[in-house]
Amino acid sequence: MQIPDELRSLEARFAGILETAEDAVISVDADQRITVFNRAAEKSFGYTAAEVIGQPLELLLPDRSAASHRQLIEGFDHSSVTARRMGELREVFGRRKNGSEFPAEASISKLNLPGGKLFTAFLRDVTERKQIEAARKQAVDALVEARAELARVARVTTMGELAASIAQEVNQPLAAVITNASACLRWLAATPSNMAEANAAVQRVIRDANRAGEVIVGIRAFLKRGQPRKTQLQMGEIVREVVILAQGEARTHEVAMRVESTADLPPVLADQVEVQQVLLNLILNAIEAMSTVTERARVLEVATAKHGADEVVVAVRDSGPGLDLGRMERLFDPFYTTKPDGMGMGLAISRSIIDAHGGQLWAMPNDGPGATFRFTLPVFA
Amino acid sequence: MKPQESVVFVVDDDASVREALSSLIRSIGLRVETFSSAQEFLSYPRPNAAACLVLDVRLPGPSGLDLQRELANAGERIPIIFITGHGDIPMTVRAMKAGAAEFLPKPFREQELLDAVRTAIERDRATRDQWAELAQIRDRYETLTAREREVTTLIVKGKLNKQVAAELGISEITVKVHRRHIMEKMKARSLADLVRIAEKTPLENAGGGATYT
Repeated sequence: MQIPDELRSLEARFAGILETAEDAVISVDADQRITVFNRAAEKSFGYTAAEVIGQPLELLLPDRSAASHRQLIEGFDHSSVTARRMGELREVFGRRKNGSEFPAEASISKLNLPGGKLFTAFLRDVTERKQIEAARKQAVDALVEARAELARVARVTTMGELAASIAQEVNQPLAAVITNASACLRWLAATPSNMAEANAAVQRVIRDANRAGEVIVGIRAFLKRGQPRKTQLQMGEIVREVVILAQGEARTHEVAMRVESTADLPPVLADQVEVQQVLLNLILNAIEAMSTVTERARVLEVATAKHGADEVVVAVRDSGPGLDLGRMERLFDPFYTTKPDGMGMGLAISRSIIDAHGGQLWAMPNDGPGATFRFTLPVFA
Repeated sequence: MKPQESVVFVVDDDASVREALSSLIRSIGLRVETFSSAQEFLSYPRPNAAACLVLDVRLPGPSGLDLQRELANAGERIPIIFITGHGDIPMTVRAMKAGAAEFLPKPFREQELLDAVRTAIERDRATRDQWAELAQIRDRYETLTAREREVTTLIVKGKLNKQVAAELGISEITVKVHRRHIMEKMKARSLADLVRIAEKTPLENAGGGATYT
């Protein structure tokens, strides 16, 4: 039988397209034996077409995915879909002649020909893209880790600075525990024993020991190592815990702390330790800012409220000397400080933390004396 | 004036510490009044009774040391037992120099505190008795006439009636009459007794001096 010229030329054109294609093109017949293997496929797999034509497709697949791959094709065979685009399929791996593997994106189509079905896969080697992606992810991870580590170092530094006042916060209830326990023994030893007083003293022992314990738990949580992890948090709870840590410092500087919160605050999505760190930083700044104030009360207010529909705002308001409007944004620059012994990292770290949470941190002078720092956090949805 | 039940004042800004101290001190049968600040303590009408003050050094507003100074300036001599969670030495020195009865770091041994409280109350009672006696002497001295005061000054110096009479230009008989009145008014049983009374207080300045409540 004579093959018409047009057909010959069509086949040549088809072969030309196939050979110059950027992607590997591999066809298998109904028995999953390779019938087409273009130049890009040779390049990707390291086999010549002659070596693989007529061989089972498994030759080109890692052993672990051969079985599932066969099922995949059979499933595709029985489905009514005739083509799946790149990216629609899960990531596949090819096996080179030398045994090494490479990640690939694949698309697949089927043709029903008179001589039987033909499945054709288009494969793109994505090794290089994967490498770039991995490098970028590594860089981002390193950055996140560096930021977290910086924040942690700042927390340890803050704790070091607070050690004396926190020791006092533990010592105070501890002194009360010891005194109550001694009083209890005396009430019991009295004749007749005063059970009501002894009982009341023991109740106070429990209460005060818990109070000391809370401070310790707060410190440990604050200093724990580990990557930031965002969870569903009640802002009121965060404020309460931070106020416990800052109480001693406020007492030392004769600052009255007030906490306000609107009812029914929605939970926020945040890393507990990092948000506590930001809040503690703002509170300690405010206490320090007020240390020069002698002519009016030193008052610190921490107010929590809803901010729009999907944010919670926390405001830390002091009655200190206030802010210089011109230098307000510089406050958040690294190494910018107005304190003689400050490192100037507190607000920079705080802002980076809030940024990483998708919130905002900013400062405003008050109408009266002092300044207010506010930050927002997204509501947990 | 009948002395009232003695009382211990506790000033500490920490409610836990206040409650604990109150219970401990009450357990030995003493009356306790607690305050959270210096101002609160100062505005409380304190009874005329033997007392002592258990005072936290560090308080919001005026500190414990400020309160100590203020009480001293007002001439109040209530014994002060300082308690502190900081135990810093310069502060202790300042407090002790300013006359603190005791300085106890928190947490303290309860026996130490209770001993300090008992001692302070006893000391205050003794001081009060002394002051009461002085006040009585002053009251009696106030009843003497000008001439009787002149005679008193001379006889407690050991002058004889004759010498007193010569110095004041009066008769010896008159001196004797004055002397009898003086002994009666001052409730002195003998010359030695009168000298002892006179030694207790500078009679020339009677009516002045510090107030004591």
